[in-house]
Amino acid sequence: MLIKIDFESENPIYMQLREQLIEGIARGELVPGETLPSVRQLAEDIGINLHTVSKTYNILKSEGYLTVDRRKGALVNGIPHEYEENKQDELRRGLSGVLAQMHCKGITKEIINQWIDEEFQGFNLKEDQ
Amino acid sequence: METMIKLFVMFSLVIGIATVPYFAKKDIHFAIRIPNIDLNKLRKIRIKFIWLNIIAGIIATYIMMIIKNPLVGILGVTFGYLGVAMSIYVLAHNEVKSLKKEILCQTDHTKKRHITVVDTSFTKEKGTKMVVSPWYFLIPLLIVLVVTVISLVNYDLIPDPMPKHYNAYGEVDNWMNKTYASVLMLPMVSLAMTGIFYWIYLVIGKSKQQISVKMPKVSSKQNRKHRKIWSGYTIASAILMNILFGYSQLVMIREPVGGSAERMFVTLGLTLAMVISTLGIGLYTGNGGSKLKVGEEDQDNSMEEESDDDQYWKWGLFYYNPNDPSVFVEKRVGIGWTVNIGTIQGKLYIIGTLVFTIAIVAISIVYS
Repeated sequence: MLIKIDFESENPIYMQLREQLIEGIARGELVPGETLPSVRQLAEDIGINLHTVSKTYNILKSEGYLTVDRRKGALVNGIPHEYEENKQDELRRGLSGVLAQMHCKGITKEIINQWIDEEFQGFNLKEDQ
Repeated sequence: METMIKLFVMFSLVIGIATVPYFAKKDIHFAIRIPNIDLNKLRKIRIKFIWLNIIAGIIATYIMMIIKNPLVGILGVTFGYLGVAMSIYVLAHNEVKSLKKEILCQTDHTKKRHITVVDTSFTKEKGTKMVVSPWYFLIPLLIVLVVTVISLVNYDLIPDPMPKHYNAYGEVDNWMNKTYASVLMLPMVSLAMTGIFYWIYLVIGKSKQQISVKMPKVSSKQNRKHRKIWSGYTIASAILMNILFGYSQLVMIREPVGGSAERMFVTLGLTLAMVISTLGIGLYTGNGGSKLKVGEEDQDNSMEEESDDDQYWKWGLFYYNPNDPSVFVEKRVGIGWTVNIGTIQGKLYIIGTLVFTIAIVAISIVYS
């Protein structure tokens, strides 16, 4: 999959990387059982500190997206993950926050539903066309 | 003969240096990144660059012809010309840098996102799947082995004293005492060079992924092909070089049919072949493989642009980025790869190369 890092963004790099890897997993660009590049390899290619990539991999491991195998490296876990009440609450609150902003900015429910459809269409596709 | 060599050296130097700006990726002009620039704005700078190089080349060639001393005449003038050519390049580089500042002030640059793109499958396949099989290195190794065996088997046939150096005409102009060490010297150098070529082969595989934000699919495919071609060429070069060394060794054991003339032609011919093929392949692939046709297409996302990494390329030639753990990156202009001086390994390679070169020169001076 393609990872895009914005070095000028206010969003920290480890967060950008985490978000994109999660999106990649959701869209099937990263398939269950696939190994991610090693920490060193990915850090070199993006051009960032190894600790940044390591931090991202560790966060994703603790959140259940990755399993770290000592020989193979970081493996993508199958989706969906097991149900976790805490995670559900957290994501629900996040959604409220974003929806509130959209509502204030005049983005209608119709447009939001359209966006939701577009996103979910992406989730059912394998590999980029 | 000497005149021809001098002319050839100067001609290739001038051509090689004057065309360097053309060995660059799209949007890179004299090692400055300016996306979507109107090429007419660069015309004056480019034409001035070419003319200055031609004039410097003509003057250097003239000086080279009139100086009889080969050390000053060929070596001195060559390095002198390279120094002048470097200044001409830095001049153009700085002019483009100023042009960029001008352009940035005029256009609204801030709406676009500046990003770096990385393809995770490319990352995983870099070292192994993108380069040709390393087992092909057995061929140049075999050549060295065969030459060594032939040398040892025919040890008695080698004259004592034995040739130490040949001049440009293929004639011996210096002798040394025959020992096992002096007889095996050339094959051992050949072996060491094969090792260096193998190291270059590894660097080509491991070097940083640098694909284009505007055309990620196309540039990814181009870069894969680029690494395959150059890794293959590294092996071909090792083979050619070992043939040259092997030939030089074998004609020491038995005088060749064509005598000195044959020696001269084989040496010059193989050297010429290597220089021309390197330039040719370089022109064919372009920097990073950017000139290769790969039949892919990308959708243009005009809201995204390449991150501006001008700040890490000193004079556009030296990559200094301590935040980047990559040790080897592709050059911004020209053919080949360079080190990241911001890393410890990068610094060691630069220092090590200098120390090694000085040591070899010092040792050969002391022993002669």
